[in-house]
Amino acid sequence: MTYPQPRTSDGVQAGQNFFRFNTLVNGPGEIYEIDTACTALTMGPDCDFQQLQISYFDQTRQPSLLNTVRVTPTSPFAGPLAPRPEQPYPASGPNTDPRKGRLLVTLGDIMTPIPTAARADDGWRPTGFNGAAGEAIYFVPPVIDLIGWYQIPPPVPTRRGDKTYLFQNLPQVAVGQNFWTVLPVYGRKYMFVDFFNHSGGAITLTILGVNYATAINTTLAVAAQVQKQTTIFAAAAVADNAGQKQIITSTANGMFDALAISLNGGVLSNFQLRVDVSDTI
Amino acid sequence: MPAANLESAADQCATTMFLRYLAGTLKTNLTAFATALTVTSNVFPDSNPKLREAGNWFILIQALTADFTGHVPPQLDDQQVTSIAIGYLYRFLWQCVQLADHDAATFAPLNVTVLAAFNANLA
Repeated sequence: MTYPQPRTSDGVQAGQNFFRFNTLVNGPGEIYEIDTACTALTMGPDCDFQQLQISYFDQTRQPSLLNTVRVTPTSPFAGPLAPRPEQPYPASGPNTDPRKGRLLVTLGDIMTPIPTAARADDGWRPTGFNGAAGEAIYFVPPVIDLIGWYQIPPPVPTRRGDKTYLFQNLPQVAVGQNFWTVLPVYGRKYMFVDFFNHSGGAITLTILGVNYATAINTTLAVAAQVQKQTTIFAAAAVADNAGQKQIITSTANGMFDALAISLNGGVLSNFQLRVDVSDTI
Repeated sequence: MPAANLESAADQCATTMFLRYLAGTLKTNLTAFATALTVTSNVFPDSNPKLREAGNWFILIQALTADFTGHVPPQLDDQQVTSIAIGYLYRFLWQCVQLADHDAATFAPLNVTVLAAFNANLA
């Protein structure tokens, strides 16, 4: 998260036509303010989320005066929105200090908390995960990228872009243990996993699709977790100097919040793991 | 550790939500939820720019409950509203967890009040 929060009015002072929220997201609770009026909101090219929820002051919406709109890769919001700081939200806060009008940006998707050094056990774990035995997991933090236009946006629309992740080595874990890499793929329609092994020995590859739920479950047994995991490619050994390709599509496999890819081998280096994700098939 | 306490609260809220959902008793949670909400909302005044980074969640949570109680006939039943609201609450707590990571001096003193309110009304 960005702390303190960026001010969207900085773009005005810089003479820009737009502001851009572009920051890593580490937890499901992140909420950002927009303090400037804008004519349209579009998803930025680096965004990993499928849905961003914008909450705004709406005097026609009784009694809360709060309305929401969702910005997605296929549906930008074209319409003037203003923070309306002169207006209090009547349902919010104590009467002596009511919360004033503002635009709020929150995630429309569910995410799992990203582990930190202080909270290493946070976040989703695959069924059977055994951290005590040396199994390890790494989450690529998702990015929130939202562009707000101060004036009429240009005719070339901004949209969520395709992404490529490339790994050539990973931290070595104990022999026989998995190293999981979790990539954000919210609502992506096409994913291509290309693994080639030059490590000198066999590496076992596993690919899961994950759909998160509202729970961190650090106090629950893994078997009791409510997150859903789907096996896309069951664990299978890839020999040295051999490869494995896997195409994952929304029509054939479904849609996921994350891809979890496990490598398990004596040497987790000298390989190429490339993952391409796209909104179009 | 202050963040860990809030993290436990977030976890507990989520767990409570699911358990009550499974048991079909979420309906009884709305009043308790409103009580906990009033207490904690006052702890995060809008005039404090740091605290408002977490307090912004109350705009969404309280609007949800206001629209629910103010709309006749209700568009959602109270079980649905409570489920959504506790989901918001969970995210509010997680925002507190993260803010405590960045600024423990500001957020750590709030733990006692926040945890007491939620433990008393939602546990």
